[in-house]
Amino acid sequence: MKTLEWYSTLETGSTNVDAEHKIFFNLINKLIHAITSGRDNDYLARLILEIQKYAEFHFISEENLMIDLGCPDIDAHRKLHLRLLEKFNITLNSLELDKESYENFAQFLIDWFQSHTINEDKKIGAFLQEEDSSTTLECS
Amino acid sequence: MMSRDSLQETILVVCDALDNVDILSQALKNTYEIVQAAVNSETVERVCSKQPVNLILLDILVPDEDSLQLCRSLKERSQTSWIPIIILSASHREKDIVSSFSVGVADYIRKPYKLSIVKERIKSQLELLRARNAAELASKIKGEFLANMSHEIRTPLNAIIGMNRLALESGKREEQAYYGRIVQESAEGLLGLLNDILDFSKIEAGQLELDNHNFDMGRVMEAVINSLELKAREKGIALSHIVAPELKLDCRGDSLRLRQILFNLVQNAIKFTSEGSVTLKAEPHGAGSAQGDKSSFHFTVTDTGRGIPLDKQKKIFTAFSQVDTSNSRLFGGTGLGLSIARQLVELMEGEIWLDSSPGSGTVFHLILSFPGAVKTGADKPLAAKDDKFSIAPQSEESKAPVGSLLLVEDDKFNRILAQTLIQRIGYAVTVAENGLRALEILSRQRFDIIIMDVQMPELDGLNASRLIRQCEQGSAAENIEGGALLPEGITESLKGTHTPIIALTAHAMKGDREACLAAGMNDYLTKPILPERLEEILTKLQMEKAEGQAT
Repeated sequence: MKTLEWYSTLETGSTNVDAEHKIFFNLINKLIHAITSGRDNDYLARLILEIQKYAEFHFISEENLMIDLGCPDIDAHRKLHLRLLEKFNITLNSLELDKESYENFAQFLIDWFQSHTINEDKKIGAFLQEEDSSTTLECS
Repeated sequence: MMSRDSLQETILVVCDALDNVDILSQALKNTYEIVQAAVNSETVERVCSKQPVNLILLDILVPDEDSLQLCRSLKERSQTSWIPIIILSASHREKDIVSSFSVGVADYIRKPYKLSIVKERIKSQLELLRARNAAELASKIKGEFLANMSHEIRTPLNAIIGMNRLALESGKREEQAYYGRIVQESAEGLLGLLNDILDFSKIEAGQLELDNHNFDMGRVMEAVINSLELKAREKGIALSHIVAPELKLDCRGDSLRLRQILFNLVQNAIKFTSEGSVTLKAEPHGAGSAQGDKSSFHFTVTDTGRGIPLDKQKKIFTAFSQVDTSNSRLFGGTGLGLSIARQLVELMEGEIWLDSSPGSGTVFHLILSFPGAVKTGADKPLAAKDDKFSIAPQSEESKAPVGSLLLVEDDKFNRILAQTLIQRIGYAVTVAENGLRALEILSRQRFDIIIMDVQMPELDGLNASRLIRQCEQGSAAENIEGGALLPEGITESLKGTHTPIIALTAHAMKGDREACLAAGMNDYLTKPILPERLEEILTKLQMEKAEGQAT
């Protein structure tokens, strides 16, 4: 399993969201690196906890931005976040403690990150560009 | 006990997503019975009405109005309101967690969760539930017991008060004697009831200790039969006892407690038998086998009563239980007797069980071992006339007193009673109404024996006894605790003597006896005073005194 390169399709158009996404992206890479270099399960579990906590933080941060922007579909988006946490829960709890299933877990993270960013978070970027006042809300 | 129960506990997993059901069901299916349902009030209520559910796991994305309404309706219905609900949700929002608890859920676990933590939180909820159920059951049983007990206490009290009034109003001696006998019998019944309650609480608190001594098994059995003969005769039941001749009757053990066990079993048999017979029998345990142990007794109490259904047979040895509550009205009683019997048997490391079927009577079996009597000089038999003692007035009042006795008791009626009983035994009695008065009398006069109440105003029995012992040793301070002065001349009067002091107390709890002995008292009598026991103690003290003089 190889680490990933950031690519421009993942960019949402919001500087703050993209900055957080990149941190998240790096965390997944950190996990992949740890798996391939054979780190022990305790360490892997701590990395997964780090990703989980960062995801929770990022979701709140992203939802706050949506509130500030007055995005209309915030409730639906929030539910998607919760669903992702739920999926996280299911995958985490059905994990066998071997290399392959950790790799599967990392792959799952990559997949939902890409699909959620491209399909959902880009809507925030689009909304941002529609709003003239957007620059005052985002700090660079 | 816990692990056996937990296998039978059922958890209902209510879920809005199939994946979640799988994870929880897989993780819990080895420990609990798992049933599943969708988030829907009707479905959940139907499941709960079809089978007992001990806990509900409500696994949802977010506690929305539907799931909160489900919780509300479960909590509103009495059939399901006690079932603990644990919500598992991905929402970390304060509002969601608070509104979940406000509809009565027991716990809220956030996703992603660790299954090990979920398992522990389920376990702790189920433990709470078990503890709560046990407490509710105990409270219900105690409530019933209290109601029952109130009835049991009122019944003899009613007879005592009513019959006593009749006796006072009646001018005829025969009538008075008749009423008096009923008062006596009712009062003794009441005392038996109080003793049962006391014994039961002592056993429950692990405070009951056996008092081993030499005794004659035949006499114990006879005494049980004698004391219940009247009751059996009144009901028209034949009461008999059989002792196998090969048994060795010189035993060592706690004969009073053995007597209590046998008494309870025989009394119980008489109570539940309306016609026929009750037989108490003792055989060697393992009779027939070559090495039948002659000191191991197999007692049976056989009746021709109504019998006990199989499902009630185990319960009958637990406290406060009779076969059913309507029976307890029919037969009366506290339901403590057999429970006390069982616990005493356990204390004696014996076995008790019963054979019965409805309609064909009951046989209680009891196996107890009593090693042979140990011959020691100290175990001299006490005044061997406990069953022929009578409190009938003695005519030989002109006889010289057997000794002088100081009775210290503050309650007027108890003083009169004790004084009368002691005078009948033959002592010249001087009375004092408290410890201080007693010391004043002792400064002028000497006695063979002092009987002293423990709880008294001014100077209680324990302090008075301590002071008397100090004076006898010539080492008393001049002031009594509380400021009073020792009566003049008391040290001179008592120095070098030793007067036996018997404590008289209504406290029958463990520790009282020790406190009395520690205060320098020699023996201990509990109220109500039994004439037999009073005479026994006085005789023993006389014998000791005689021995002391002889050696």
